[in-house]
Amino acid sequence: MLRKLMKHELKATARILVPLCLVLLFISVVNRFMYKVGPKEGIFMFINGFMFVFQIFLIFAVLASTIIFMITRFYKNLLSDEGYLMFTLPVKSHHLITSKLTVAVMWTITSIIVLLSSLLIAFATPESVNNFINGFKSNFAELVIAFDGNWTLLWIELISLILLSIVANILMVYVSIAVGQLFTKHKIIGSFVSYVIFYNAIQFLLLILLAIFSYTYSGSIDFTHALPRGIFPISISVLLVESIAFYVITNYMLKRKLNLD
Amino acid sequence: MNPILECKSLTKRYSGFTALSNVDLTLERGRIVGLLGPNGSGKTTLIKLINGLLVPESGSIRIAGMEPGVETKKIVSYLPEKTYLADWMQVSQVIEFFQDFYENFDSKKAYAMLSDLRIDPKKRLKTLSKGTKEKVQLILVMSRKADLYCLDEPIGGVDPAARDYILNTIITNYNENATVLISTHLISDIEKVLDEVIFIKDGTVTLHSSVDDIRLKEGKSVDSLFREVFKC
Repeated sequence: MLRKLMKHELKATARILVPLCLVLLFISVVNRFMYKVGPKEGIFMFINGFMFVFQIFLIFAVLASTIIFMITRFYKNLLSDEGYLMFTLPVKSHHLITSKLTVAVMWTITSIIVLLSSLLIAFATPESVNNFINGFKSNFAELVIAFDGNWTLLWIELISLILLSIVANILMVYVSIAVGQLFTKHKIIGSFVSYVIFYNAIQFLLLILLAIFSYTYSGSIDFTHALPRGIFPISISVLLVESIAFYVITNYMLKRKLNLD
Repeated sequence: MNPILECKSLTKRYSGFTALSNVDLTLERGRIVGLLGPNGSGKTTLIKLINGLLVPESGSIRIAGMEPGVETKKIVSYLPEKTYLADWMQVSQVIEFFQDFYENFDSKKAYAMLSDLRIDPKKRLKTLSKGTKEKVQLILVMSRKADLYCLDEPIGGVDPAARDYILNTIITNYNENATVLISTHLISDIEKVLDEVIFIKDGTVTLHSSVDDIRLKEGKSVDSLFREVFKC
């Protein structure tokens, strides 16, 4: 059933996001050639400028749609009238959450890749790519030293950190909406307030943990010295615990405290 | 076979307000049952509890002997009073959705009913009128071969001509072992198809009887008895 839920979740989101990403990539290719061959005067300059603005607009559109879908596919599909259908399907409530989470993570990663590709396609020159790679390498060199030259560990921690941040952020939105729907009259305000509370609580918790770590590690609560040997594992653990807690609370709310209008 | 629905001292409260209190109710298989009561009497709450959209405060509810969950959702077909279909979908996509999730869904039957009511399956939900959307939902719900159908105000929003077709659909489309629970306050329209009625008032069941018994004992129709009992 999870697979079927994911299939329908993909269908519901792809109908907007796929065309949007394809148009963005197409415009990026067009822009590449326009900068190269187009005359830099008169009406062509105007068209060039317009196409540039259009590409930037599409980049924002892709990002905004990804975020809006992440929110509305949870709120509208599960907790508005559509919830009457979704919660009477013969599926477990955690399958509903997992299907939406997986698809939202997938789209977040896809839209970041599409966005970077769009910039690369339209604007990359051999020099700029070289500069970028060199900058990346020198930053990484410092990190690798901090990791005692252990590349594998660095990559594992870095990728876990990125993935878990995406997952934890999406689940924070879900749990806020799931808690917010308890407010019979002001569900959206309730969700927003819940989000602010969850967000600040997590930031505060992370800050305290890092300060404690730094103090035991170097005798000072200024944790910038403990970068990144400590920050990486601590952040990963906090994100992991946070994600599990959010998932469990969201599932409990949907299973036991559902409050459809 | 165990009864299709069994409630024992079922109670549900919403922040301070008791929507259902101590409801004892047993429904046998193969009946068409009217759940009748004024607005806010607890009809929808009872139907939501049957469908697992609410969790009872105390008491128990069993559908074919099971607590509401994945297994009961397979055998209960539910028509809520809300429009629960996503408006960007085409009617045919919704049919595909139902076919994917409900093993007992018969898409041939759904398409036949759509053509009877002249509804184009290629149309998007957002282009349909409210009444047509309600017809589509009823078609979807009645195209399942379920054990219990819960219809919450199924004829409220449709014209009288379609009402007859819908009632006819309801009584001809369910199998002998299935029970249909219809909540409504349009009693006179629906009275002729009912086997049993349940009167519900302020969250308690005040009467559960067969329609024949009411006619014999009280000497009046369900509609006039309802007007008498719930007189304002």
